[in-house]
Amino acid sequence: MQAISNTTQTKQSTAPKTYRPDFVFVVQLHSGKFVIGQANNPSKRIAAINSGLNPSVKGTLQINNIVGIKEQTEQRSLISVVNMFVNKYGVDNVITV
Amino acid sequence: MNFTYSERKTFFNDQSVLVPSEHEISFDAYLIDSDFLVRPNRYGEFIAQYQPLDMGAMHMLYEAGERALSEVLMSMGSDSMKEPRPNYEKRDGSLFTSQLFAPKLNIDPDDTDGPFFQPSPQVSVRANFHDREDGMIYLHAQYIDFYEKTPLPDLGRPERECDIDF
Repeated sequence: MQAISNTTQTKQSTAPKTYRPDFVFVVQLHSGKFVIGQANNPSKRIAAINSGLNPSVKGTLQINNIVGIKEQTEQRSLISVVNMFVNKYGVDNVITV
Repeated sequence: MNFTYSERKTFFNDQSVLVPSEHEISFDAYLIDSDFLVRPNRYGEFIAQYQPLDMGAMHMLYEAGERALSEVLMSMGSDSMKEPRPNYEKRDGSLFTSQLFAPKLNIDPDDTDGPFFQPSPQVSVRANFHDREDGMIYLHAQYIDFYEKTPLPDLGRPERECDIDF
């Protein structure tokens, strides 16, 4: 006779979570700082930042220009883009949202 | 049985139903791609891509788009071969206008010191939704008014903004 505990065993997945939003975006504020983020709908996210709905960017209509919206790949991820901008412009000029 | 597009039109009397004046909208946006705004691409299309300025503009645009889509859906007859679907949104959520006529601009697009050559200039767009006989819904830009050039922030580096790549 099989023990009841054997029938109720569940297998826990040990694979790491691989969720990654599709796009990474970079915008520049009027102050010169770069805002970098990742999202599945970056257009909506940028509109929300420009509406003042993100606590990291105070005030509305702060975006000066949109540097780019690109797909995330193995080579281009949020971490690599942030790293690139921090190395180039300094940690004080980069905001990650 | 496969029909070509022109043959299909003769069998079914599907027509455009959206009246431009009833589906006009104006919104503020950043112009993020204007490669084919002044001169058409090889298919004769004038295309521009926009990032809506704020959430208000974004909601207004998508609501107007939904309204146009539902009007096309409701006007379909029982024998209609239309497949109404929007063709004004990119996968990243930004919008684009595509049309066979050039939109009117308030600036000289050849002036290299003007706002047209600024990275992602701010524009005010007057546009309308248009449906094709097969149900595809497009956004057509009528007027694109460029705002004054925004001074770029000084990065303390010799390179220009458009040189930034990632």
